[in-house]
Amino acid sequence: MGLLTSPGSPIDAGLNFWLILPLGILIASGVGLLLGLPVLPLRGDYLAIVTLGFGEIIRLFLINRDDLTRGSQGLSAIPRPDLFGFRIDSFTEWFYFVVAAAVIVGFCTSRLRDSRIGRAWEAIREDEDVAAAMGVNTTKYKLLAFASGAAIGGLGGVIYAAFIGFISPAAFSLQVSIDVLAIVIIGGMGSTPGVILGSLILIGVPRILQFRETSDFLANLGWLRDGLNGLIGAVDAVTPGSIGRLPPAETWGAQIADDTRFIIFGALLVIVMVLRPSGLWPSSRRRLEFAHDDTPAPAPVAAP
Amino acid sequence: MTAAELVVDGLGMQFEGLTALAEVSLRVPPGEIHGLIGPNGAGKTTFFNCLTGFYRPTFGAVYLTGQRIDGLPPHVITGLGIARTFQNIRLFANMTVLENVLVGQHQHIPVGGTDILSTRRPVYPTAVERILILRGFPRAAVNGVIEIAGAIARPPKVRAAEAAAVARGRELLAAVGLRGRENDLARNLPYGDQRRLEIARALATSPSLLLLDEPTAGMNPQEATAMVGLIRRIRDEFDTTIILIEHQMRVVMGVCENITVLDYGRKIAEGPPAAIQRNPTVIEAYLGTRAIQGGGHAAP
Repeated sequence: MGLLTSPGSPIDAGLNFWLILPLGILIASGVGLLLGLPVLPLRGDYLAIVTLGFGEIIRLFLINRDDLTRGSQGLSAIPRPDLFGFRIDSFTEWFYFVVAAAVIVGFCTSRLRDSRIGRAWEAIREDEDVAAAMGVNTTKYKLLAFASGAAIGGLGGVIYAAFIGFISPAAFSLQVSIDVLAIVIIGGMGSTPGVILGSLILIGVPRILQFRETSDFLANLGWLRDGLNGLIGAVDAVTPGSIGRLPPAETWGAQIADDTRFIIFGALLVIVMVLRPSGLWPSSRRRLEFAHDDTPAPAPVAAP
Repeated sequence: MTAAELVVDGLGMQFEGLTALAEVSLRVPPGEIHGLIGPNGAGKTTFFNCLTGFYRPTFGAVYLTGQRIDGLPPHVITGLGIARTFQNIRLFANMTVLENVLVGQHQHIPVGGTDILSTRRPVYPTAVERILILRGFPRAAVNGVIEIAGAIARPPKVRAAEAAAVARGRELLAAVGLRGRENDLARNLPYGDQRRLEIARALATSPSLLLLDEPTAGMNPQEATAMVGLIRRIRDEFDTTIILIEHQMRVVMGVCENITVLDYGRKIAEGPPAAIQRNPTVIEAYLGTRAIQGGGHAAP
């Protein structure tokens, strides 16, 4: 949600990146707060579904109210950030800039987790009623969670917009939300290193497959392609209908990355869910939780 | 906190057509250990839910040391001094033992200021009331930002508050006999320890009135005896009034100074244990009329 709202009209006015950054964060958290209000009574899965729905609503709103937002034309020529007279322009510079931003966000979230706020959030996740009975103002902390989550989204959105230099609602389809969710689940819920690992795999692997070097490399693996084609042919022969063969040797790497990304996603999700239900790199807490599942259950509970 | 006086005046709770509580009046003087008994479905837990703000009573009023509290949201009532445990243990299962107690101390960790978001008497359900929440909004928002900034920057003040909370948490855990389990996950504790952790977590809110919902449920006689000792010690050391719902008569009769008996949502008797044991209405409620005709046994 934050992604969408942050690069709003101020960019048109030709404002400086460092001015837009806090503004984007502020607007995003404000919108997050507003969206949080109606969903306060919702819990668990329902909340997640409604959140995804909101993302979709905003995207469609941005596209269709083109008198306000320029619709799918989007905003272009977004200025790049200057850092003390040093313009962040090349990919390498951007890389370090983004990594720095990620490190700062990671630091902030880890500090938040080990604080009164973090514990209140966790308590609400565990059992909202009991959290309230322990004195946690659940309304306030849920809204704070919405706002701060959206603030991080806003930060990401501003940086993304400045990097690409162009932004339109089409960049934020439902697919993006689903990708993010998949990253979190595959990496490990509630685990920062897990999420980093998840994004490296789910974002990184398809990109690597698209690199020229990779496709050159794959082009040399003609035997693999031929073998796979043979396999497909064999399956084809025994099943009704016809499935296509792999594309020519020069491009099959990139093609696979594009065509089969979702298949790979799905397969990965299933495999991870079956083999590592807590994610590839679970949080230390989750590990504790699962480690003890093998030990005998605590003393049997007599019916009260 | 100093022990509180609880006054309940004509409390009634109605769910659609079902009357869960009717005309329950009660006075528990400061520092008393008061028992709440009654057959299953008598409305005991509903009574607790009304006191703690989980339910909004349909009729009547509740006063805690003179202050009217019915209809306030749960977190505000907790702040005013009522803490509770749950019949079916409801710990934050995936948090550590120490973290559970730290959540209990939430309002006593002085960071980010207090806030008045939604402390008005009419609370949740209606749309109008939800808009009323917005009244305390600016201040809560400012406090929220301050708290987030404090959590990230961790100035000495926040560090000190956190360290004090951890120290107090360890004290509380030691007091209920959970020393050395601080970093275990709550869900991995044995059953009896989970009950004790629930009590420690409730004590962490610094209550003046502690509501224990079947603290010895599922315990064997030795564990139950230990629990009785713990309940007495809590009253003395933490200076709280205690109301407990209990089914094990040995426990109720042993630890309570006064007992209230509920049946079908109505108060049918009140008095010291010895009198309750002989009260024919109570015996009837538990055992039926024939028990009395046959000169039924005193202890139900």
